[in-house]
Amino acid sequence: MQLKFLPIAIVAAFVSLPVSAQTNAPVASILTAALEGYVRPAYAGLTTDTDLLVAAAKTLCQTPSEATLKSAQTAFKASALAWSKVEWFRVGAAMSDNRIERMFYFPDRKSTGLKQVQKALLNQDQNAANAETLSAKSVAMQGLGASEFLLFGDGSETLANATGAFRCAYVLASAQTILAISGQLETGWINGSDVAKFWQKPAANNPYFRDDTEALNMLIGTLIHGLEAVRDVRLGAFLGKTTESDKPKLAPYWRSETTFASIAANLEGLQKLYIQSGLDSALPAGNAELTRTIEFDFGQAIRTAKSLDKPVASVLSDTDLRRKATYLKLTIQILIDHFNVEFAPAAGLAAGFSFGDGD
Amino acid sequence: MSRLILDRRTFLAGAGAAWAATLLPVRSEALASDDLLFASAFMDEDQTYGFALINAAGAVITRQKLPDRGHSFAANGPDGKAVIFTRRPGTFALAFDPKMRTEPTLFSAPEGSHFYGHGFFSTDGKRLYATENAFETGQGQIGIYDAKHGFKRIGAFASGGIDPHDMVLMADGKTLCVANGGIVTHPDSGRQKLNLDTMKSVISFIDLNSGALLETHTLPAHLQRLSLRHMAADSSGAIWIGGQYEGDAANRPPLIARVGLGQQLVMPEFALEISSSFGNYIGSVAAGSDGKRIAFTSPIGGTMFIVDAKTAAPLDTRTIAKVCGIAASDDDFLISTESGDMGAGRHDEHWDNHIARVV
Repeated sequence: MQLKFLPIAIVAAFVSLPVSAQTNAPVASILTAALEGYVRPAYAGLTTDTDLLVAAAKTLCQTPSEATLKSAQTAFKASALAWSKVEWFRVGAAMSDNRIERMFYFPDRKSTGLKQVQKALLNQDQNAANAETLSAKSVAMQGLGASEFLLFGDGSETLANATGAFRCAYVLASAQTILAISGQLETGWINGSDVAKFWQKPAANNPYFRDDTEALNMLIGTLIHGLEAVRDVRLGAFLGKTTESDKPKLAPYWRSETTFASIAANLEGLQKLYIQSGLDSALPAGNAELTRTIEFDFGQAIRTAKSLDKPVASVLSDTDLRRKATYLKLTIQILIDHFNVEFAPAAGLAAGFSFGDGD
Repeated sequence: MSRLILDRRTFLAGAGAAWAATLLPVRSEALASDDLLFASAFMDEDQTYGFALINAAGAVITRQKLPDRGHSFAANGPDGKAVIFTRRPGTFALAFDPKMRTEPTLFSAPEGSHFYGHGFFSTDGKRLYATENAFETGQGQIGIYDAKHGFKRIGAFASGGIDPHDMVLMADGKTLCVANGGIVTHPDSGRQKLNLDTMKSVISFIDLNSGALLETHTLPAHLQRLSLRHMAADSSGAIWIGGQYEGDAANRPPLIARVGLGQQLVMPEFALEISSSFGNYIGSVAAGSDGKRIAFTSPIGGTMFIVDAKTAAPLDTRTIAKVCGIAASDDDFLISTESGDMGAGRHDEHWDNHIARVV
């Protein structure tokens, strides 16, 4: 038999798969509820907030002042929180064209974004002041991370007067790239889109899930991986094992003092996915206590994060507040264990152990 | 012993010796009577980790606890010793006598590094090589350990990329082939993947004696998010590789590659129903005992797929839920599942990704 190989250079682009008409209730209804009650409203909210950010940036550039700068900063925070509510949902349009990284490049341990933004400011790089050319540049110098430095970082006070004209043009371009990505995410899930069709119909040839079990695994996996990411990548970025190993300037959104609000929004988004999908209906009868406990611990984690409404450095330097942050991390771990060790096996899924995580 | 409260380096420094004493001879008659002996890591019903020695029929000969999740093994060391590595970002490994005639040796990756979970012994058994992450720089390295003197680390060389995972010593005994998965991780961020926008998988050929990089192979741009991670050599010396795709689940990129020193990396073309059966994730690759068949397993897709190593013709596709561990056994393969299947045996353990023949 002849060797049946294709040199990689001529391997065709990815294969698109047809959609089956087969449906599976009630998991199909859980998926539909997740789409209609969480995914679409979250992306719609993101588009609304980022649209306001673009408008505020335009106003700032046209009429620079303390007041218009404040408005743009407020609009930035709203956009960051809107993204935080949906950023751990990693299916469909979010997984193409580096949209997640272009929206918020984090963590940035080597301060790549900061260096690139500062260089663009120093050189008055016109390609950074144009949304189209900016979107083709490094993911680290666009999106929410770059916008935060421009609006809150060193030199941001120049935005309140004419000396910040170039910086403001960069703010506007960055806001426009954020809005463009938000629009792509929203339209990616509209009625009739391929991913929306796949999402609601587990079937043998559905690339997301071939049956109900895989669909439930994806939903629970989204919750578990999202919670792990909040614990490891967000809290873990700055909350050390000891105060000596704390790194407040590695915290997400530390410049805009939105760190814990964004963590609360992360948790609110995951809570909304859990509740709006009606995922608890996948559990057999007799698990009411587990669902009550999950809802309580979600609420507890969100309340704790919201109560830490201070700059991250202030939280870490205050013994009581820092203890609260550690408690928050523990509560998130407890939530992970609820899903991993209790919910998954009770729903007939694998218990606390999965190969499918990149090894 | 809870993995939650156990610090691995403390474990190595203190309790390790006492714990290691529990690994003294167990069921020595059974160990002596089995011609083929395999090993696999597992998680048990109470969420603790360990590894087991298994005979060709899938019966467990003995099982031992580990303080963290194990991954893969190196076999055929001095006096028949084998080594189990912890899973990324694990920092310890355990050298043990599969026949349980001598006490095991615990050793760790150096400060600032962790193991990726795979390794092998030199043909004379004197040296152990392990894939490692020097996590402050993110550069992959191959650590060298003196297997005759307590597994003391005696050197390292660059792996030719980021995220070196599996590797194979070629038949000449002096050329190494490494699958660099290309994904940056850092222990401060748990197991989170930090560079999916720029990840770049590299297959490298390295001269084992000098550590000199001989040749590298990369993927085309449309496969930028494919992480090449596991490999096996066929009887002709060609290396077969299985990948894991980090992009949109709706895509169906090719996951299987073949490469050789001085030979172009190629990706065989398979029917859509085959390429769709992997869930974009191949967890293990093994060559049959004659090297003429190569098997790939996907726990996400629930698929075991065997190809003819000469022609790349599909020989067998089996649907096996949560299958991943696989190793050549006489004229067939010993396979395991996350659900407890090990060959003909059925156990309470959730078997981990890999099975290795250790005797």
